[in-house]
Amino acid sequence: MPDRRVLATVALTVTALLGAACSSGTDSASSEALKAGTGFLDGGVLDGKPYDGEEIGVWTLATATWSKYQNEMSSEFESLTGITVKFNDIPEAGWTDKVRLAQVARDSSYDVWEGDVAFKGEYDGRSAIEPLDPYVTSSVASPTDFLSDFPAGNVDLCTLDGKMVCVPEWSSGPMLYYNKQLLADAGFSEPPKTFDEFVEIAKATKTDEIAGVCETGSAAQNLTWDVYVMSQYFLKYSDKEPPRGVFLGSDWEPQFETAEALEFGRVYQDLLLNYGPEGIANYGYVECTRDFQQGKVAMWLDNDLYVGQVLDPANSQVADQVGFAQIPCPPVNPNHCMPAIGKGWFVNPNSEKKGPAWEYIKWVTSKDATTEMVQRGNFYGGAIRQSALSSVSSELPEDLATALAYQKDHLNPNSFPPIPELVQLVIGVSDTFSKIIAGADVQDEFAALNAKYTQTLQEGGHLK
Amino acid sequence: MATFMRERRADGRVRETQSTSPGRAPRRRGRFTDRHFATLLTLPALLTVAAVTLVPILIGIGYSFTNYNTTTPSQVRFVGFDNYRNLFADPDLPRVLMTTFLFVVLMIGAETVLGLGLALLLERPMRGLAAYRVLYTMPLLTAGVVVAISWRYLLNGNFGWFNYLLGLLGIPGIDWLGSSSTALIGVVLSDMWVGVPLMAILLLAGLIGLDPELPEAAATDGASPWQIFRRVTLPGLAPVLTIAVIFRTVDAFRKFELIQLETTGGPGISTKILNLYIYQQGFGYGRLGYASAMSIFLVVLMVLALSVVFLVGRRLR
Repeated sequence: MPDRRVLATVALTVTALLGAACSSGTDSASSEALKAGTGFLDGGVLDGKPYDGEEIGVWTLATATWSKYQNEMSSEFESLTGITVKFNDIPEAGWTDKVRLAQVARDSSYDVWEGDVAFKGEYDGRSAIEPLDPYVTSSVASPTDFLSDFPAGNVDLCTLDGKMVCVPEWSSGPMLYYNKQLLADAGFSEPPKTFDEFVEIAKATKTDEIAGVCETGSAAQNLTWDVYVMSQYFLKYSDKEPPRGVFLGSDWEPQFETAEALEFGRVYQDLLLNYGPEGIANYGYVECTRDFQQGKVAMWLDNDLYVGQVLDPANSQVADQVGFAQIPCPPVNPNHCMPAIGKGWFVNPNSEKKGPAWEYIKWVTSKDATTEMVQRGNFYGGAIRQSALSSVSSELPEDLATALAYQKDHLNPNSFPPIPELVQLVIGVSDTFSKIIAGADVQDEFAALNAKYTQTLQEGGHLK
Repeated sequence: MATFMRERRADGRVRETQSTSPGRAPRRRGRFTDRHFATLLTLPALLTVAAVTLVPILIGIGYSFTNYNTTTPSQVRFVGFDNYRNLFADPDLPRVLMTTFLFVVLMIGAETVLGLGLALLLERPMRGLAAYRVLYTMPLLTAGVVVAISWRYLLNGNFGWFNYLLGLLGIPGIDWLGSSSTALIGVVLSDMWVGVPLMAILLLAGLIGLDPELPEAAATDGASPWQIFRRVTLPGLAPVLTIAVIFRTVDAFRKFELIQLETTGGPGISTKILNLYIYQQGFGYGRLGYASAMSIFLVVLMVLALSVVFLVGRRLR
């Protein structure tokens, strides 16, 4: 039998070694993430390039205007830090599937990704979120005023249950683009002041060659956003916490069988089928942008991300005719009829390069980078910092500045309930409205959607 | 076959004799035979095939009895036959099944008839035959994604070539992929661009293999061309035709990229076949358990469809 003292010594040694390994593992992960400097926000350079030679994977949405700018500008980040950025631009049609599968599989091949802030609850349900409060509040990793330049609404986009889960990349709200000449030809000198006027103008401007209104009709191209924007003018906003959106009542009960919802469905169907472009079932924002630029659309109600494209004289035949406006909020929803969408930069919790990942996020959301993105393409959604927006506000057309200000003042920062089942609710809306655009009966489809919502919310424990 | 036998003699010694009598060699314990060696050599391939086919199938069957959902993967639990019950209560499923049936029938029907016609045409000796054969195989070299995207633009209601050519003939343009009444036809048309040449190649091989004396003899006996085709050519071609239709039927049920890229199953659900619907349930809604049950159902449907094809093929002979 070995001497007890020997046994005790061995046991203590093993315990100490194990404890050191565990704690050093934790310490090395946190110190790894926090060892970088704070140079970016004022244009400075990291001391000593602590991550020189590292490579990080960044997942972004392909065909998005901002992705193009970020790709083009990344060489600046690489020369400042020595960190190589490998972009993976994923098409929108496959984005949700790819991200979801990667999260379920705990994929570590990417380090930073731009996620849809509306789905932060779903990401959290899959433990796919790295909490960023330690990064933001660390005096080593970030300057103390890192968030001070963000409007409060933008920070809210990246907040879940009081915790910061991402850094805002861009945010956007509704924007009504209209062709002043086409409206004038139909006898309208002003954009619509109510939704009823919007419908009236759409009917009056529709001809064989001209569409009175253009909206996304394809289920593969974020049809839900356009539906959601229009629904704000018919359905009551619930200000409960957590937010429910307009499709759910204060007790989570689906609202699709209410008189207001049915009216909305019928108006929506009539508007798109009879006053939209031919083949609207296959339309997305690419098609609407193209048609509007060619002067074939009188009004286009979407988000403000396409301002640069419709104002670009090289591509837009109506650059000098386009007007910007908001349809004012209705009595049923007087203060929060401007839903916000946006993307945020998330750190992959399975990443082995969280430090370099955080450096990229700090750089791409810095004042300099966001200001440059805004100026490159009139990409106002990228003006997530007040300073970035201020840098271009004097150049904005007056009606655009007024429309953006109205949007920010009537923002609904949490348009969708941040629950894990959100994607099922969104796809349900997308499917239903796709059928409605194809001519299905609104009442039947809404009844089926109500039943699906009820089942989903009951299974998720939200609805009794 | 020579066999060796051992026997113990009365004095205790063991005698080994060789016998040439027919029969199997007695198995020797511990002897590594050629058969064992052959099995061993095929084992890596068998294990690989099992790993990439059998294991996923078994996992899928397992998932079909759970509520596995990728939005809340940690809350998976066994639910018995609930997914299969929900399948038959799904309000969209009847429409999806009808769309699937129509798609398969239209696709197979059109491609078989046109493919057979093309094969009959190209079987005859003619000038430039080799060049024609190369031309009609070129669609087969095109990637499915490219075909889908190209045809999406060809069939575009506003600026597609199809409507332009129809316009030259004085025919009003059709909103091929934007109307629920024509979208399925548009998708079938797109697939025919590859499917008809593929059928033609398979059937041409069958035609070339037929005995040329039989139709000649039938013609000598006064049979008309249609009678020759119906009574001589078609029965002779039946085995190859059956195989070709089986391949295309399986392909029709599996069709994905063409429809996903052209219409995503829309407008509404007018082009949503079962395969696409399974994808949406599994990867759109995240309901992998339910999608797995639907996949099992799809396999059953495919087996039924192929059984019908076999029966018809047998009758043709």
